[in-house]
Amino acid sequence: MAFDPLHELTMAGIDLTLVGAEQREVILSLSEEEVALLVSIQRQLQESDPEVEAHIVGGLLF
Amino acid sequence: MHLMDILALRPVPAAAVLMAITRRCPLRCRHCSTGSLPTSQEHPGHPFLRLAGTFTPGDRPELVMLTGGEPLLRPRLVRSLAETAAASGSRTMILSGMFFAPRIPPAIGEAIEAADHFSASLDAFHEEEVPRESVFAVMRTLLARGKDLSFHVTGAGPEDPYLRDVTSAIRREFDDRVPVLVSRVQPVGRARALPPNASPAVRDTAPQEERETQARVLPCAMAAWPVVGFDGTITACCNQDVVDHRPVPAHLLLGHARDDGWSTIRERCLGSDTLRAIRTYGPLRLADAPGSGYCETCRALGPLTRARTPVSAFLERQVRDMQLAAGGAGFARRYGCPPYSELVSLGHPRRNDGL
Repeated sequence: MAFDPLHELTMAGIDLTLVGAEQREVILSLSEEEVALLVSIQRQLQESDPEVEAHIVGGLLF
Repeated sequence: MHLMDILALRPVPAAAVLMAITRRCPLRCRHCSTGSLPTSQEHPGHPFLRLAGTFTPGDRPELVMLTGGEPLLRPRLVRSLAETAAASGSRTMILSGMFFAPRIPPAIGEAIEAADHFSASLDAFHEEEVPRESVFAVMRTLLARGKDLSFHVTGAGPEDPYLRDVTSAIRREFDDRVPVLVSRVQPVGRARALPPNASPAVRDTAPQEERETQARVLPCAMAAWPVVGFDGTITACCNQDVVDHRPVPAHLLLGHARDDGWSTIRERCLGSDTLRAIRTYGPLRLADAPGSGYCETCRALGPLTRARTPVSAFLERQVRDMQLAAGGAGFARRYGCPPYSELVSLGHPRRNDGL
């Protein structure tokens, strides 16, 4: 079966409901590596482990 | 302005600007990330005011975040900055170590009144300098005046009993009306000298953890808001080492408050190929040879030149949107202390009812 970026991203829980026709064309042109990258980021953003190194200025986490 | 609304802006490039308006602080907290003392460096206020004066209604940050050191050592500057920013529609937040508690001196009260959000630092180290009850007394007064408030609490990690105690006390005292951002003490400034058992977070990164991290694509939400350092130098990142050390790595230098206007700073922040790539992929993905940590790797990067294509623009926007979708609690979970991340929604109309 042909690689379908839209399907893969949707299955990973990435919300693409608001993309327009032009963006849809771009999504359909994504390579497997580019889709894997987005899916990887999505998973990591959902993990509960904090970043290895936080960023602080003036004692403020921002 | 609720803390959730502030945190929700965090992944948006140039949505805010941080201003560290003095390194001075009368407190001597053992964990101080800026190593502040009453005699630390302090520069004239006019570059900060000059930069705020370049905001326009059509080209401004949503938020100006004032920190230090202790920003309320300069209450008139804080008030002027808040009023100047407000004239263009920007809102202002202050973070204070509460050296003045339990009283609110008139000039400090006026500075807080001019801001849209006030946040108090509270942790075991601050409590050695300012009693918790004194901090609560000030926050009770401000809450009664209708000010949007938050607490910024730091601790050793999820198992730290202090965090359980202080967050319970805040919730009880303020009837769940004041949000709390909980983070971990980091090995920066005087905290580098803390014994490891005093703060499990103050440690070197474990080799295994490091190896795993280096293999990851991990976008940086922190390369989004320009930071005006104590001397007016403007950097793209709020990592304390970047703010403090000179020279600033070229790809993280945005300009100087003495010379550059907001429009220029915003354009450099948004337009830099390197910063866009850091925000999208993170430094570990970009480096030929990752360094010993995430931020160290970033500081060692050279300027990148990448052609902007429809695909790269989509990836950039999508990564930003995924972080936005995680919201303020997502930010707190990612960069703070996960078990306490939902406390950022306390007092918000759409708070997590599971709390």
